[in-house]
Amino acid sequence: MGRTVLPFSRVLEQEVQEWRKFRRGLRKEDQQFLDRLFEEARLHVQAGVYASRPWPFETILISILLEHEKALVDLRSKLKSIEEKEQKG
Amino acid sequence: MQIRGRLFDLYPLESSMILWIKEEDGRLRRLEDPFRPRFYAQGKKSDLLDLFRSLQRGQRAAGYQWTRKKEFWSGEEVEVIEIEVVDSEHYAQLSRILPSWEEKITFYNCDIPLPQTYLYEKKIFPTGRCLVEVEGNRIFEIHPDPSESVWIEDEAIPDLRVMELRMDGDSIRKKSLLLECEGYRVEMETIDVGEVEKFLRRFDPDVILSDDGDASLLPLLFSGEKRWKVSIPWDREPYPVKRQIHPKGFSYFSYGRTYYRAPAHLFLGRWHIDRRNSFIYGESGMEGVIELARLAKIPVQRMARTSPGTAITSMQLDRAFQEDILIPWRKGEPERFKTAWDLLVGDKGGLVFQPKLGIFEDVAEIDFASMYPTMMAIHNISPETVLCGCCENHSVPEVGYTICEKREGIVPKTLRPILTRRTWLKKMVKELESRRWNVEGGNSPPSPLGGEGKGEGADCEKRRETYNRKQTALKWMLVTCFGYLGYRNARFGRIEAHEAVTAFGRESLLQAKEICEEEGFELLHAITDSLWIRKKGFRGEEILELCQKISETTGITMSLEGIYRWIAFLPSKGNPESPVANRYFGLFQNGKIKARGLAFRRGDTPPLIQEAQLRMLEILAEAKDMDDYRAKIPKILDLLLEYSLMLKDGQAKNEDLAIGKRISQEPSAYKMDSLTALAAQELEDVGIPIHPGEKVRYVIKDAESKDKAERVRPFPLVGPDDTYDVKKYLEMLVKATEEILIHLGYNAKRLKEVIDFSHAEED
Repeated sequence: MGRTVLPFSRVLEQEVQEWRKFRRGLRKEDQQFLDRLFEEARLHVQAGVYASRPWPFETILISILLEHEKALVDLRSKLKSIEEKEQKG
Repeated sequence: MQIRGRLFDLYPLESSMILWIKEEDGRLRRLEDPFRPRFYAQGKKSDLLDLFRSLQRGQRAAGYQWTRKKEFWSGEEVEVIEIEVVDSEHYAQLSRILPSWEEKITFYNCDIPLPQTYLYEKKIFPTGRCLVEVEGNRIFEIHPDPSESVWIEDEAIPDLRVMELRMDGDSIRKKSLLLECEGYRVEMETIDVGEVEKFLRRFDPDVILSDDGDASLLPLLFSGEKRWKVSIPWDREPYPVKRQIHPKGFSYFSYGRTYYRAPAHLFLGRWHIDRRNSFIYGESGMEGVIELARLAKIPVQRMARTSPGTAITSMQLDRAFQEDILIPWRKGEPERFKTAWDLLVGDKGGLVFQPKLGIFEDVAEIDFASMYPTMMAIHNISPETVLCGCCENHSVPEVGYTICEKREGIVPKTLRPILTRRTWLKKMVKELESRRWNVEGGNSPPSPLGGEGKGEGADCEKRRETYNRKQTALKWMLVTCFGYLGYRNARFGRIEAHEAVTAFGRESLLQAKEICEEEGFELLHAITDSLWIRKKGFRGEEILELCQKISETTGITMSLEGIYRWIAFLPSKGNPESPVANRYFGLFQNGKIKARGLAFRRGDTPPLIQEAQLRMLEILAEAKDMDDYRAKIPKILDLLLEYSLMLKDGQAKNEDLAIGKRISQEPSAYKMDSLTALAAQELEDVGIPIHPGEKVRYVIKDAESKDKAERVRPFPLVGPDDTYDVKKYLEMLVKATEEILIHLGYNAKRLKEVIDFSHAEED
């Protein structure tokens, strides 16, 4: 109704729908990981809304990468502290 | 002769406007003012004269004159013909007659409710004081009292005789009709219209407050009148007028829900307010209805039945009228505008930062006050000022639209005084609140979930409540104002103006976020105009300074909603790892709990489960910090056990298990046998009609039963022998408890073990 651009939150859900066939082709135990990826993208919807870039999938990918980077940093520091403990011990 | 009094009611009758004035001595007088409605048309002179002659031949038009008025979009003066219509009935027919002329002619002011036009013209308003020059019952001149204004503090009309009209009793079988006025009470098990007639004649009430008068009671009484050949003096007109029921009842869709609005039964010279058929009454009581009726210049009975959006539109029409602006014709069915709410609010384009999940300490919530309306007011956002064509400043962020610098828009002009008044009302509420606290002694805060003041505080409390209701009514008007801006079919709507508001909104929220982060706060959650921020051990003054800084930068007042001792953000119901906006509960430092999206706030949670969750929250209201919170777990589990035993033993009462749900379509149209659909169908089967948007209340009997008739029992039909589905209700109880304890390691599975759920399943 009078909207020229779909809001990003809806674009994202559309994109998820478009991956439905791909998801169906996955083994059951793998499907949940795909779902998690999109969950990660949902965490940053507001940035996507604000940026409203022409290729929404880029925004989705960068959102997922961002969560992965956070997880990596977190894991690295945990690993480091474990290693330090072991060296001392 | 001059009389002084307050305008009680008005309506058009033939070629007059009838006014009921409550004089200072309490007498109510019926006065007549000759009044012929007018409309305007623009086009070639010859076409306009053709139009007039045609209307004159049909005895619709009484006269015409040429005049100059301002066109709304350009603000320029144009020449138009002003046509006087013979009476209100013919004016109402214009929408049928004029379309055939539309190819050649543009029409203005041809679809405005006449009482409103009359009030705009005379600058008076419902319940307002006026000075009237009369001879007999005829008005020569009517003015507002010079000391009167909608913006001052008003007092209610004194000495209104109020009568109540409602059904008493719970079940449909032992219901009785109840009439009450001035302490006198009549109850009838079988309806005796003669008694009703006598009652009305004896008390002649000014106001009839009913429950479901529009939908069921009055239609019932009308048919009784016909059957027994009695006529109840509902109207105060000296000669009977044919009753017009307008508009007819209809179902509409708003905020993602279907509602039913019953047809309006308005009385002449007497207010009929149906408490169940009034959004504004439900939200803000009689005070709210009157506040809006005054501001919007809409008669009180009609105001009670219309939306806050109609009120704000009427204020804009009034503004336009005062400034000689031609009012464009709004086409389309009047009901359709309701769908706008959905569009607007569903998709408001505000920024939402999903919350971080968990329980947090050191959290403050700060809110922009009336963000969108303020935005419209300070940035001059109005349909005719956005993309005006005369300026070029690209001042709207993101989208780069230009906003006119030469003209002040009709929307900001209307909004500004409302915003000021609401700020003042809110200030009064706060002041009275603190006074009440002093009266009662600051050491014993009221119940954490709100409570009534007593003794000396009672008067304070009453005034506080009045102010609060008024400000609530204004809040709704402000909210819908933004909505209407974005609706193409609204009279003063324009999608670009709507976009401009949300763009400024996003800008302000991001500015606020940045300032918070600069000051060392962490953003936990944000929705459109509210932010939840955290910083270890922050001081109270620090937050106030922060708000000050944000207010200065954005131009919108940022205020502290409160500082939380702790706050829990809950995950979505579907996925325990996925955060969701607007589902949280927390304890403010002042001892009050704030909760959103919890089971106890939802209508489809049975009262018993609501009560259980509320009691759990009351326990948590004593938890000063997280450790305290953890220490309360055993007490909460005790409550869980207590309620689960009550359910298992079959002790719960049917009323406490009622689930209320609105149906979204005709009962027979449901394809799936949802419990709600089954309940609605069962009602229909016994001859109780139910419309989309109406609520059904039912008890779950046995959700898994093969016999559909045994799954649920809708409310009036529930009998004392009906048993309930223990397992279903236990599940609801567990879910409500899970909301409270999920962050402390108690999910539904673990809670079920606590209450020995599997055992219940075997029973």
